[in-house]
Amino acid sequence: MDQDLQKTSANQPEGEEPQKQENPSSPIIEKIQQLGQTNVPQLSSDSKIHCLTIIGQIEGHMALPPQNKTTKYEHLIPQLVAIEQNPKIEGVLIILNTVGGDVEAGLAISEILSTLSKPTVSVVLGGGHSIGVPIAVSCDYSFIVETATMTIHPVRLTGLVIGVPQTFEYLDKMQDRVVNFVTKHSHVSEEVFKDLMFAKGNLTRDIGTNVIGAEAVKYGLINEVGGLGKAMKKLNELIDLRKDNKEGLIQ
Amino acid sequence: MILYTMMPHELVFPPDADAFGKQQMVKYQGIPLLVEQSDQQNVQVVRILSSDPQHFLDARVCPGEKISFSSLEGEVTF
Repeated sequence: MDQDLQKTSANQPEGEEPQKQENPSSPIIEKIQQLGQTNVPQLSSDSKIHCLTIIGQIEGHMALPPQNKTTKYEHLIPQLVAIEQNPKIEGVLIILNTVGGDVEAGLAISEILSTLSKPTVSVVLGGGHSIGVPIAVSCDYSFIVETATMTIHPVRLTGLVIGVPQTFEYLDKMQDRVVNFVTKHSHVSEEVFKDLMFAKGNLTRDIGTNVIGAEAVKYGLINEVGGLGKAMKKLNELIDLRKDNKEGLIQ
Repeated sequence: MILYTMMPHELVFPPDADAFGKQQMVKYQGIPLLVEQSDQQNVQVVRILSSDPQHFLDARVCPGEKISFSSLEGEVTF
Protein backbone atom coordinates (compact mmCIF):
# COMPACT_ATOMS: atom_id res chain seq x y z
CA MET A 1 0.00 0.00 0.00
CA ASP A 2 2.88 2.29 0.76
CA GLN A 3 4.22 1.50 -2.64
CA ASP A 4 0.89 2.35 -4.18
CA LEU A 5 0.84 5.68 -2.47
CA GLN A 6 4.39 6.45 -3.45
CA LYS A 7 3.63 5.54 -7.02
CA THR A 8 0.68 7.86 -7.20
CA SER A 9 2.51 10.72 -5.59
CA ALA A 10 5.49 10.15 -7.87
CA ASN A 11 3.35 10.11 -10.99
CA GLN A 12 1.37 13.19 -10.08
CA PRO A 13 2.82 16.65 -10.19
CA GLU A 14 2.37 18.50 -6.91
CA GLY A 15 -0.93 20.22 -6.24
CA GLU A 16 -2.91 17.95 -8.54
CA GLU A 17 -5.30 15.35 -7.22
CA PRO A 18 -4.75 11.72 -8.12
CA GLN A 19 -7.21 10.64 -10.75
CA LYS A 20 -9.65 7.79 -10.39
CA GLN A 21 -8.73 6.01 -13.59
CA GLU A 22 -5.05 5.71 -12.76
CA ASN A 23 -5.41 3.41 -9.81
CA PRO A 24 -8.80 1.71 -9.85
CA SER A 25 -7.70 -1.30 -7.83
CA SER A 26 -6.04 0.52 -4.94
CA PRO A 27 -8.29 0.06 -1.90
CA ILE A 28 -6.87 3.04 -0.01
CA ILE A 29 -7.74 5.43 -2.80
CA GLU A 30 -11.24 3.97 -2.96
CA LYS A 31 -11.63 4.48 0.75
CA ILE A 32 -10.43 8.08 0.53
CA GLN A 33 -12.93 8.70 -2.23
CA GLN A 34 -15.75 7.13 -0.25
CA LEU A 35 -15.05 8.97 2.94
CA GLY A 36 -14.44 12.21 1.11
CA GLN A 37 -18.02 12.38 -0.18
CA THR A 38 -19.77 15.38 1.24
CA ASN A 39 -22.51 16.10 -1.28
CA VAL A 40 -25.17 14.09 0.60
CA PRO A 41 -26.61 16.17 3.45
CA GLN A 42 -26.20 14.32 6.71
CA LEU A 43 -29.53 14.52 8.44
CA SER A 44 -29.77 13.24 11.93
CA SER A 45 -31.91 10.15 11.64
CA ASP A 46 -34.51 11.19 14.18
CA SER A 47 -35.42 14.57 15.58
CA LYS A 48 -36.31 14.47 19.26
CA ILE A 49 -38.95 17.17 18.89
CA HIS A 50 -41.62 16.68 16.30
CA CYS A 51 -43.85 19.41 14.94
CA LEU A 52 -47.46 19.17 13.85
CA THR A 53 -49.10 21.97 11.94
CA ILE A 54 -52.83 22.41 12.19
CA ILE A 55 -53.71 24.66 9.30
CA GLY A 56 -56.75 25.58 7.27
CA GLN A 57 -59.93 23.75 8.06
CA ILE A 58 -60.21 20.78 10.34
CA GLU A 59 -61.66 18.07 8.18
CA GLY A 60 -63.93 15.46 9.71
CA HIS A 61 -66.62 13.35 8.16
CA MET A 62 -66.89 15.35 4.95
CA ALA A 63 -63.98 15.42 2.50
CA LEU A 64 -63.47 18.99 1.38
CA PRO A 65 -62.50 19.74 -2.23
CA PRO A 66 -58.71 19.84 -2.82
CA GLN A 67 -58.52 23.63 -3.19
CA ASN A 68 -59.26 23.90 0.54
CA LYS A 69 -56.30 23.63 2.81
CA THR A 70 -57.27 21.10 5.44
CA THR A 71 -55.93 19.25 8.42
CA LYS A 72 -57.08 15.69 8.10
CA TYR A 73 -58.17 13.86 11.20
CA GLU A 74 -57.33 10.43 9.80
CA HIS A 75 -53.83 11.67 9.10
CA LEU A 76 -53.08 13.45 12.37
CA ILE A 77 -54.27 10.73 14.75
CA PRO A 78 -52.02 7.92 13.42
CA GLN A 79 -49.13 10.38 13.51
CA LEU A 80 -49.81 11.15 17.16
CA VAL A 81 -50.04 7.42 17.89
CA ALA A 82 -46.66 6.95 16.18
CA ILE A 83 -45.19 9.83 18.20
CA GLU A 84 -46.43 8.26 21.43
CA GLN A 85 -44.83 4.93 20.51
CA ASN A 86 -41.49 6.17 19.20
CA PRO A 87 -39.06 6.32 22.15
CA LYS A 88 -36.75 8.69 20.28
CA ILE A 89 -39.37 11.43 20.14
CA GLU A 90 -39.39 13.38 23.39
CA GLY A 91 -41.77 16.24 22.73
CA VAL A 92 -44.30 17.68 20.28
CA LEU A 93 -44.77 21.24 19.15
CA ILE A 94 -48.20 22.11 17.77
CA ILE A 95 -48.48 25.08 15.43
CA LEU A 96 -52.04 26.31 14.99
CA ASN A 97 -53.38 28.49 12.25
CA THR A 98 -56.89 27.26 11.71
CA VAL A 99 -60.32 28.63 10.95
CA GLY A 100 -62.00 25.78 12.78
CA GLY A 101 -64.09 23.07 11.24
CA ASP A 102 -65.59 19.76 12.28
CA VAL A 103 -66.39 19.76 16.00
CA GLU A 104 -66.04 16.02 16.52
CA ALA A 105 -62.77 15.80 14.60
CA GLY A 106 -61.39 18.80 16.48
CA LEU A 107 -62.35 17.34 19.83
CA ALA A 108 -60.84 13.99 18.85
CA ILE A 109 -57.50 15.64 18.05
CA SER A 110 -57.67 17.61 21.32
CA GLU A 111 -58.34 14.50 23.36
CA ILE A 112 -55.50 12.55 21.75
CA LEU A 113 -53.16 15.50 22.34
CA SER A 114 -54.16 15.93 25.97
CA THR A 115 -53.71 12.22 26.70
CA LEU A 116 -50.29 12.02 25.01
CA SER A 117 -47.74 11.09 27.67
CA LYS A 118 -44.99 13.23 26.10
CA PRO A 119 -44.72 16.98 26.68
CA THR A 120 -46.74 19.09 24.24
CA VAL A 121 -46.59 22.83 23.64
CA SER A 122 -48.87 24.75 21.28
CA VAL A 123 -48.34 28.05 19.51
CA VAL A 124 -51.29 29.93 18.03
CA LEU A 125 -50.14 31.85 14.97
CA GLY A 126 -52.52 33.94 12.94
CA GLY A 127 -55.73 32.32 14.07
CA GLY A 128 -56.98 29.53 16.25
CA HIS A 129 -60.70 29.93 15.75
CA SER A 130 -63.72 27.99 17.06
CA ILE A 131 -62.65 24.33 17.34
CA GLY A 132 -59.02 25.47 17.26
CA VAL A 133 -59.55 26.73 20.83
CA PRO A 134 -59.82 23.24 22.42
CA ILE A 135 -56.83 22.06 20.37
CA ALA A 136 -54.73 24.99 21.60
CA VAL A 137 -55.61 24.42 25.25
CA SER A 138 -55.22 20.64 25.06
CA CYS A 139 -51.42 20.93 25.18
CA ASP A 140 -49.40 21.00 28.40
CA TYR A 141 -48.51 24.64 27.81
CA SER A 142 -49.90 27.07 25.26
CA PHE A 143 -48.52 30.18 23.63
CA ILE A 144 -50.16 32.80 21.46
CA VAL A 145 -48.30 35.35 19.38
CA GLU A 146 -49.30 38.97 19.87
CA THR A 147 -51.10 39.32 16.55
CA ALA A 148 -52.94 36.01 16.64
CA THR A 149 -56.69 35.86 17.23
CA MET A 150 -59.07 33.27 18.55
CA THR A 151 -62.78 33.38 17.87
CA ILE A 152 -65.00 31.86 20.51
CA HIS A 153 -68.53 31.24 19.32
CA PRO A 154 -71.33 28.72 19.86
CA VAL A 155 -71.59 25.51 17.88
CA ARG A 156 -73.76 25.94 14.83
CA LEU A 157 -74.60 24.41 11.50
CA THR A 158 -73.62 26.84 8.77
CA GLY A 159 -76.44 27.79 6.52
CA LEU A 160 -78.93 25.33 7.84
CA VAL A 161 -81.80 26.44 10.01
CA ILE A 162 -82.24 24.61 13.27
CA GLY A 163 -85.86 23.64 12.96
CA VAL A 164 -86.57 21.10 15.65
CA PRO A 165 -86.01 21.27 19.40
CA GLN A 166 -84.18 17.91 19.30
CA THR A 167 -81.53 19.31 16.97
CA PHE A 168 -81.09 22.24 19.29
CA GLU A 169 -80.75 19.92 22.28
CA TYR A 170 -78.16 17.87 20.47
CA LEU A 171 -76.16 20.92 19.47
CA ASP A 172 -76.37 22.23 23.01
CA LYS A 173 -74.94 18.99 24.35
CA MET A 174 -72.20 19.07 21.74
CA GLN A 175 -71.37 22.60 22.81
CA ASP A 176 -71.18 21.51 26.45
CA ARG A 177 -68.52 19.01 25.44
CA VAL A 178 -66.44 21.81 23.95
CA VAL A 179 -66.98 24.08 26.95
CA ASN A 180 -66.11 21.30 29.41
CA PHE A 181 -62.95 20.40 27.55
CA VAL A 182 -61.73 23.99 27.36
CA THR A 183 -62.47 24.78 31.00
CA LYS A 184 -60.83 21.53 32.12
CA HIS A 185 -57.62 22.13 30.18
CA SER A 186 -57.13 25.87 30.67
CA HIS A 187 -57.47 28.46 33.40
CA VAL A 188 -60.62 30.00 31.97
CA SER A 189 -63.77 29.55 34.04
CA GLU A 190 -66.97 28.24 32.52
CA GLU A 191 -68.71 31.52 33.27
CA VAL A 192 -66.15 33.68 31.51
CA PHE A 193 -65.94 31.31 28.56
CA LYS A 194 -69.70 31.26 28.10
CA ASP A 195 -69.84 35.04 28.42
CA LEU A 196 -67.30 35.32 25.62
CA MET A 197 -69.17 32.75 23.58
CA PHE A 198 -72.52 34.49 23.74
CA ALA A 199 -71.34 38.10 23.61
CA LYS A 200 -73.29 40.22 21.16
CA GLY A 201 -72.07 42.99 18.92
CA ASN A 202 -68.49 41.77 18.49
CA LEU A 203 -68.76 39.64 15.39
CA THR A 204 -70.45 40.79 12.20
CA ARG A 205 -72.87 37.95 11.57
CA ASP A 206 -72.57 35.88 14.68
CA ILE A 207 -72.52 35.98 18.43
CA GLY A 208 -69.23 35.43 20.21
CA THR A 209 -65.92 37.17 20.82
CA ASN A 210 -62.69 37.56 18.97
CA VAL A 211 -59.81 37.60 21.47
CA ILE A 212 -56.43 38.87 20.32
CA GLY A 213 -53.01 37.83 21.65
CA ALA A 214 -52.63 39.12 25.21
CA GLU A 215 -56.42 39.12 25.72
CA ALA A 216 -56.48 35.32 25.42
CA VAL A 217 -53.90 35.17 28.20
CA LYS A 218 -55.90 37.66 30.29
CA TYR A 219 -59.00 35.45 30.16
CA GLY A 220 -56.90 32.44 31.17
CA LEU A 221 -57.47 30.61 27.91
CA ILE A 222 -53.80 30.57 26.91
CA ASN A 223 -50.80 30.37 29.26
CA GLU A 224 -48.48 32.97 27.78
CA VAL A 225 -47.83 35.40 24.94
CA GLY A 226 -44.84 34.27 22.91
CA GLY A 227 -43.55 32.74 19.73
CA LEU A 228 -41.26 29.97 18.58
CA GLY A 229 -38.24 30.69 20.79
CA LYS A 230 -40.24 30.72 24.01
CA ALA A 231 -42.23 27.65 22.96
CA MET A 232 -39.07 25.65 22.24
CA LYS A 233 -37.53 26.71 25.53
CA LYS A 234 -40.65 25.64 27.42
CA LEU A 235 -40.81 22.34 25.56
CA ASN A 236 -37.18 21.57 26.41
CA GLU A 237 -37.87 22.47 30.04
CA LEU A 238 -40.85 20.10 30.11
CA ILE A 239 -38.77 17.35 28.48
CA ASP A 240 -36.04 17.76 31.12
CA LEU A 241 -38.65 17.74 33.89
CA ARG A 242 -40.13 14.50 32.55
CA LYS A 243 -36.67 12.93 32.36
CA ASP A 244 -35.96 13.91 35.98
CA ASN A 245 -39.26 12.43 37.11
CA LYS A 246 -38.55 9.19 35.27
CA GLU A 247 -35.10 8.86 36.77
CA GLY A 248 -36.55 9.51 40.19
CA LEU A 249 -39.03 6.69 39.70
CA ILE A 250 -36.36 4.17 38.79
CA GLN A 251 -34.36 4.93 41.91
CA MET B 1 -68.99 39.41 -7.37
CA ILE B 2 -70.20 39.45 -3.81
CA LEU B 3 -72.61 36.72 -2.93
CA TYR B 4 -74.66 37.42 0.18
CA THR B 5 -75.63 34.02 1.44
CA MET B 6 -75.62 31.87 4.54
CA MET B 7 -74.93 28.80 2.41
CA PRO B 8 -71.45 27.30 2.56
CA HIS B 9 -69.26 27.90 -0.46
CA GLU B 10 -69.20 24.21 -1.44
CA LEU B 11 -73.00 24.11 -1.57
CA VAL B 12 -73.22 27.14 -3.86
CA PHE B 13 -70.33 26.09 -6.10
CA PRO B 14 -70.11 22.29 -6.10
CA PRO B 15 -66.57 21.11 -6.90
CA ASP B 16 -65.66 18.98 -9.93
CA ALA B 17 -65.90 15.31 -9.18
CA ASP B 18 -62.49 14.62 -10.76
CA ALA B 19 -60.77 17.19 -8.55
CA PHE B 20 -60.69 14.65 -5.71
CA GLY B 21 -58.93 12.01 -7.79
CA LYS B 22 -55.91 14.11 -8.71
CA GLN B 23 -54.29 14.26 -5.28
CA GLN B 24 -53.08 11.26 -3.35
CA MET B 25 -51.09 10.43 -0.27
CA VAL B 26 -47.91 8.47 -0.95
CA LYS B 27 -44.70 7.51 0.80
CA TYR B 28 -41.34 8.36 -0.74
CA GLN B 29 -38.05 7.49 1.02
CA GLY B 30 -40.07 6.93 4.17
CA ILE B 31 -41.60 10.41 4.04
CA PRO B 32 -45.39 10.66 3.74
CA LEU B 33 -46.34 13.15 1.06
CA LEU B 34 -49.42 14.61 -0.57
CA VAL B 35 -48.80 14.54 -4.31
CA GLU B 36 -50.59 15.55 -7.47
CA GLN B 37 -50.23 13.85 -10.83
CA SER B 38 -48.30 16.27 -13.09
CA ASP B 39 -47.81 14.07 -16.18
CA GLN B 40 -47.75 10.41 -17.18
CA GLN B 41 -44.57 9.46 -15.32
CA ASN B 42 -44.24 12.06 -12.61
CA VAL B 43 -46.04 13.37 -9.59
CA GLN B 44 -45.52 16.77 -8.00
CA VAL B 45 -45.20 17.27 -4.27
CA VAL B 46 -48.04 19.38 -2.82
CA ARG B 47 -47.46 18.93 0.90
CA ILE B 48 -45.18 17.08 3.25
CA LEU B 49 -47.35 15.21 5.73
CA SER B 50 -44.58 14.25 8.12
CA SER B 51 -44.24 15.55 11.66
CA ASP B 52 -40.43 15.26 11.56
CA PRO B 53 -38.96 18.75 11.01
CA GLN B 54 -35.89 17.20 9.32
CA HIS B 55 -38.05 16.00 6.44
CA PHE B 56 -38.87 19.59 5.58
CA LEU B 57 -35.17 20.28 4.97
CA ASP B 58 -34.87 17.43 2.49
CA ALA B 59 -34.44 18.96 -0.96
CA ARG B 60 -35.77 15.83 -2.67
CA VAL B 61 -39.28 16.35 -1.34
CA CYS B 62 -39.61 20.15 -1.41
CA PRO B 63 -43.13 21.21 -2.47
CA GLY B 64 -43.17 21.51 -6.25
CA GLU B 65 -40.46 18.87 -6.69
CA LYS B 66 -41.25 16.21 -9.30
CA ILE B 67 -40.89 12.57 -8.36
CA SER B 68 -40.98 9.65 -10.76
CA PHE B 69 -44.02 7.45 -10.35
CA SER B 70 -41.95 4.27 -10.20
CA SER B 71 -39.85 5.37 -7.22
CA LEU B 72 -42.86 5.77 -4.95
CA GLU B 73 -43.40 3.22 -2.24
CA GLY B 74 -47.10 2.93 -2.89
CA GLU B 75 -50.17 4.66 -1.65
CA VAL B 76 -50.55 5.24 2.03
CA THR B 77 -53.82 4.31 3.57
CA PHE B 78 -54.42 5.75 6.96
